[in-house]
Amino acid sequence: MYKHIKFFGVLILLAITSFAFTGCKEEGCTDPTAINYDEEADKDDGSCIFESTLKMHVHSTFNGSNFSYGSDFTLPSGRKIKLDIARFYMSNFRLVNGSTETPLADVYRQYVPTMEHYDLGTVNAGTYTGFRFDIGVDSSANFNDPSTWPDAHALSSSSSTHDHWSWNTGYVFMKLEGSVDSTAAMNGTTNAPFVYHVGTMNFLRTVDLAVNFTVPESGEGEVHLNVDIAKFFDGIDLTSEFDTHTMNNMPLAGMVADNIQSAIDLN
Amino acid sequence: MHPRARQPLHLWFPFKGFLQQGLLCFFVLALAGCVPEPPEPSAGSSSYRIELPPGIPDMPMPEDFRMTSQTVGLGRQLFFDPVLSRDSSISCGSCHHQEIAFADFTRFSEGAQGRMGFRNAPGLFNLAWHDFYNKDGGTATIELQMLVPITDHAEMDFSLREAAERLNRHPKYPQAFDAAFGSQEVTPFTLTRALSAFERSLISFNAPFDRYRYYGETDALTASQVRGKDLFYSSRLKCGNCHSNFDLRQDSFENNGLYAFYADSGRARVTWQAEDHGKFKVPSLRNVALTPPYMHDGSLASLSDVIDHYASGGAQHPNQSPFVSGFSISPQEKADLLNFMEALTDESFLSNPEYQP
Repeated sequence: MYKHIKFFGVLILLAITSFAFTGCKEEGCTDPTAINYDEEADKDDGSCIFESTLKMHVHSTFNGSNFSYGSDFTLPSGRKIKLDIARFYMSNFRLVNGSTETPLADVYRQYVPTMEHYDLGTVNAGTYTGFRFDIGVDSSANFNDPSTWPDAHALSSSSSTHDHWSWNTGYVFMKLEGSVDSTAAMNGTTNAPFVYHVGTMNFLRTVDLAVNFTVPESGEGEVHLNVDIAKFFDGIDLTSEFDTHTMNNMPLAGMVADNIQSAIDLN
Repeated sequence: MHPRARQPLHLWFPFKGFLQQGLLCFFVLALAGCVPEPPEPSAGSSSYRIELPPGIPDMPMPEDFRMTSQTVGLGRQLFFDPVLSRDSSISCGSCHHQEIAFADFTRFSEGAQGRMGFRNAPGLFNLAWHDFYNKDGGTATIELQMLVPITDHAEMDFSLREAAERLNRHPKYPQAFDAAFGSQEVTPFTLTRALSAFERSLISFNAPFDRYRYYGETDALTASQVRGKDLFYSSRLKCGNCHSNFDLRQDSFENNGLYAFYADSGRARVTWQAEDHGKFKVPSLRNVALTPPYMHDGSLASLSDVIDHYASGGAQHPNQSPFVSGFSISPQEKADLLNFMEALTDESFLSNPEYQP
């Protein structure tokens, strides 16, 4: 009888041993970036599913030509203009499907004309009929301390394009700086600087684009926009309206805000 | 009788000997699961202690960092270091001088490249109790307020990002930040929190007025000063209606009728509301005798001029506070009131070595 016990004992010991050598081995998805990441799993079983992502491509033009900082362009009036800074914050991104809006939570970006590809992060896979965002920063984040955002965050004071009104608490939603030919003869030299700093919640603007697009499962969706910087100056006489810090010239700030809103379209 | 020999546990399978049974126990434990994690070591820095007189509300403490002697000491170093200005010429201490309660000697202050500011620099003390900062109240926290002098073109003309980068290249600061915050990397967050820790540490509650009112020392004020105090809080003068709290100020914006039209619109600069035109944050009168000239624009040279202004009833601006309605005051009363203003000076604050570079 003892022989049988001995035999089973050894078997059990072997089982325990093999268990022990493999540790607490629970199988599952071990990739922390996967939707179905299992914290308890020690061994990957190939079941990982990944979230879909969305990328926004933005092409910057000036009345049909490719835009670049420091280059001279011609306004409809015939005056030459050159820009050194043309940027704005974007927030409150939403994907639209019919009457349903799906917000992209906590996504903030800053448009700069030198950047074409904006990674908007993870989104639900699906088909969509529209794409919306606000130019500016929503009121829940606009009054936050910029030094509390992580370094790489669009709203962080660590950004080299950080645009924030220190004394008025809040971001400069849209910042345009450059110079224009203000000569009576329009001699083509961009001699006169202009500065448009637009902010405060009054001047938040929504961009609402109707566009059909699909975000594939475990894949990347795309939206393609165009920013026509020439349109930023529609209806503005740059020879006399060359300065707004919003509070000192609110009508001009409003025109700039409305123009930028209209200047963004599908590509 | 034989002593019972030590024997291994009798288990139901034939494992003899301690080695085998020890191994078995090991395997069973390994099966049972993970060994528990050791506990996280707790943050080691000591808390910073503030001594307050009885009757003063507790000092509001920062919520996103710990005020410690290390963070305060680092902030003190930074406060007096021109490294935080673009051209390395201006520190906070360039315009905030301890000997006059961290106010400035001049009407307006000079910043980088000789550029002038446009408002009279305030004294700095008891800052944690304020609801908002700057005369137009556009900044809600100490950490947000400091962005103004650091980034303003006419003050330090710099940015948090560049200041942090510069400190990261400094031979001594990374070490000091490591000791205070546990990381050598200087970031906008740790830079602002170090400065705010020092600013919060500037506590002033030891004027003769405090000793009289909060410590119960009835001989701390002279008879003249007591009369002046009574006048200050009287319904005839109504100074105490706006300069009302333990700091002789309150968290509101008021128009004191200094002008019929204000070049500096004050609170309206932030809110753009007509009813805020010409309103400014009510300042504390602590140490006021040390800080001429007076008013948001330093346009009144002396405290005597200030009393005369209020006695006159002001310029009748539409937003003027109803408490500024003019009063009669005798020369003796004026002298008493001025003596009371002197009683608001906290000599120990002016020379406290904790607040020096």
